Amino acid sequence: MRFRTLVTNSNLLLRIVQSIDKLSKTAILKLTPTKLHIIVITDIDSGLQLWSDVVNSALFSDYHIESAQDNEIYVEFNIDNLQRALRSTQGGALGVTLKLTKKQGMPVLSLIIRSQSAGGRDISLCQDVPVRMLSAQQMAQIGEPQVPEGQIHIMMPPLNNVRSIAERMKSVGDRVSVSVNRDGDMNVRVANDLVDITTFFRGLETLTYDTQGAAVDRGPNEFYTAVVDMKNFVRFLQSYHVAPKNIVCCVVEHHALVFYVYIGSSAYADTAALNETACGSLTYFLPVRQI
Amino acid sequence: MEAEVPAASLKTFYRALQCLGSIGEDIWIEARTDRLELIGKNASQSAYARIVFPAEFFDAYDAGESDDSVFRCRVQAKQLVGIFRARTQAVEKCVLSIEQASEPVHINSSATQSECRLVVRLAYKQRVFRTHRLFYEVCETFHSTYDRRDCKGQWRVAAAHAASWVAHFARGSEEMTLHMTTSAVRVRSWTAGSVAQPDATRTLHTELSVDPADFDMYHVTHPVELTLALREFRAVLKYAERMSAPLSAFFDRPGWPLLLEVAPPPNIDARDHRQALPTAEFVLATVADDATHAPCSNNTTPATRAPTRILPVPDYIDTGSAPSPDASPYAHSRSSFAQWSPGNRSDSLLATPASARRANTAVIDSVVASLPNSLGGPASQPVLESRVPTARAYRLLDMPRPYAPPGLTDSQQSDEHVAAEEPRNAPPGMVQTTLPFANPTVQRPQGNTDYSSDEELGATPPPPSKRMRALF
Repeated sequence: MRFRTLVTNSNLLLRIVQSIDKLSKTAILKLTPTKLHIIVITDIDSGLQLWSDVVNSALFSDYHIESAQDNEIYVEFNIDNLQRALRSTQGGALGVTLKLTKKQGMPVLSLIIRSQSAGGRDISLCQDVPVRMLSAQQMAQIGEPQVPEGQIHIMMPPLNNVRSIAERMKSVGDRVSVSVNRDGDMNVRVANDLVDITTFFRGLETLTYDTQGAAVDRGPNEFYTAVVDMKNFVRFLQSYHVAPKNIVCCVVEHHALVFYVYIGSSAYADTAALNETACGSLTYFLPVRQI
Repeated sequence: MEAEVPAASLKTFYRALQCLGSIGEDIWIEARTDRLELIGKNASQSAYARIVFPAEFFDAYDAGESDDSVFRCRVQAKQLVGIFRARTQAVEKCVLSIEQASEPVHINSSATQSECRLVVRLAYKQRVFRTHRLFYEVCETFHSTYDRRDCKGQWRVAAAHAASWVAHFARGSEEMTLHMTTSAVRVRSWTAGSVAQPDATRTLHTELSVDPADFDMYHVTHPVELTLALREFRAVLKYAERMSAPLSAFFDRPGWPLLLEVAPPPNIDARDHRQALPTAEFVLATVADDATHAPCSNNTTPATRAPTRILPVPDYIDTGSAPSPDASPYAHSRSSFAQWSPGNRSDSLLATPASARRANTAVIDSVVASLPNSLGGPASQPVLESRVPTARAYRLLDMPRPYAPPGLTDSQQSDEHVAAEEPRNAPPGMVQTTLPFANPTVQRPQGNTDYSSDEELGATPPPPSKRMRALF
């Protein structure tokens, strides 16, 4: 099992890790020859799952991976540790190498950072993130959640707007109801015994491929609603760290609220490898709660 | 003691207090005629700090009434630091002074005009004053017996540079290792001997290699690997960084402490200006790698280390009945109070530590003798001394024990004093209320909880890290 690469866009990797920071303590890093996946499966109480994929060329160069399981490697890591390690790459790192190795008999994801001191002399920094290797059996058990076809897909309003209202709504109740209709309206509602707060977003863009499906059972101004944990909704909003290009919200009534966060490339002018298309995405699965 | 801190230097003063406050819970103050010393140490005695303010640092400084007296006391760090934390930009003048009661304070007397307090008075614009009156406790101070001239290796580095090493460490790191050779310095957040748990949630391991050319001065003749507690080292770095002063280190080998100094930068040309800045020295214990380096008992160290270490006779207040200092400073451990001859009890309890000691000897004798063993009575002393360090243990910091029995605050001292004298001269109306206190047996249990800190009664202070030992 071998893995070694140069990290060309450590900033993007840091932003992805920052956006999953509050989700859980540990996460799974799935390395494949073409893509990097970060998977967060929170405990059964919360039910939130995050599946992300980023094409390797957006992050790495000189990529070498080798393993007995179709050249795929799964490692479990502590999010705080990786975040701390990646933060060391900020502020003038000359070269960053990421590799999987063993130190003191324990597997570590080793981040070797070359930088310069104020005096212009080399400083080499090695951040070893302890990891747990997943066996082939454990790898097989990890699969993306199966949800029915969504009834409606809509573009989310700017995340910062949603974030500022969600922060205030957080203290009102621990359930949030997201309602969307085909006219492009989105209502975010939270209520308790004393107060009922709804925020209306108008004129959002609904995605056309919904109408082609068979299940157009409601009129354009009728709402599809999903009630999810406020905590999970706020956790999803942490994805502002990756400066998402666009976010699609998908309501699957009685099942889940799914958010597709597309990581744009335009925010990273320093990466020549990227073109206009999104280089990756984060997919959040928020299970529906009964009120 | 009275010291007026200039408004411009208030930040400097605050940084010093803050640094001491982050090392230990108490700050010792030693006022001498030419300087004011602030001293701190942590609960497990593995770190010691001393920040010396020359008299020139202050706008006005008066150590005390007589020339040869040295005033020593300790205060709670949290309280003292808190005073200077809040809005000090607008302060025009700041005066620290010690108020001593002219006569023993009576617990039942309503007269509050004479109290023993450390008074901090901050003057703002428009004649607004903020006055804080803190309890203090007269007690002896600690001084390090390590001499940097015994250290084979030393370096000096800009504080910001040293801080950049530690900045990469994970928040949960407890220790750091400095591996220094003639050509390279490796800074690690982990130690080779530490057992790694087979767990993905282990802490981050950081290793940094630094070029010695980045140091202002680097003199290491043989490879040394020092492991020390990160918490205190961070406190030193923070202080050095804020003072923008270089950090000097002196060290010898594992198990011997790392001596650090933060002195004003040498490039300040005005000589008098330089004198007016505080100098700080720190002693941080390091882990001894094998059992041979760690001494089995405190008492063996002075003999074996005599050629390389100077054990100065601590500053001692010259009073007639005071015990003469022994060759070993450890002879003055807590239980040796019992050996002292009872002094004259009619003295004021609130004067110098020496006279306080004299006056209290008899009281303390009975307190120590009557304590249950678990609370550090005489019988518990062998238990403390026979604590043999295991293979990896922090070396002790050799510091003289305080001579005066600490743990008595001024008001409680006088309480004790009054209680002892009560049968003779109590006013008729007060006999009932104070009578129980005149009986020593009734008084004990309450006394224990009241006027003795955990540390001084022999209860083990909380260790700052799992592998650190209580050293006394």
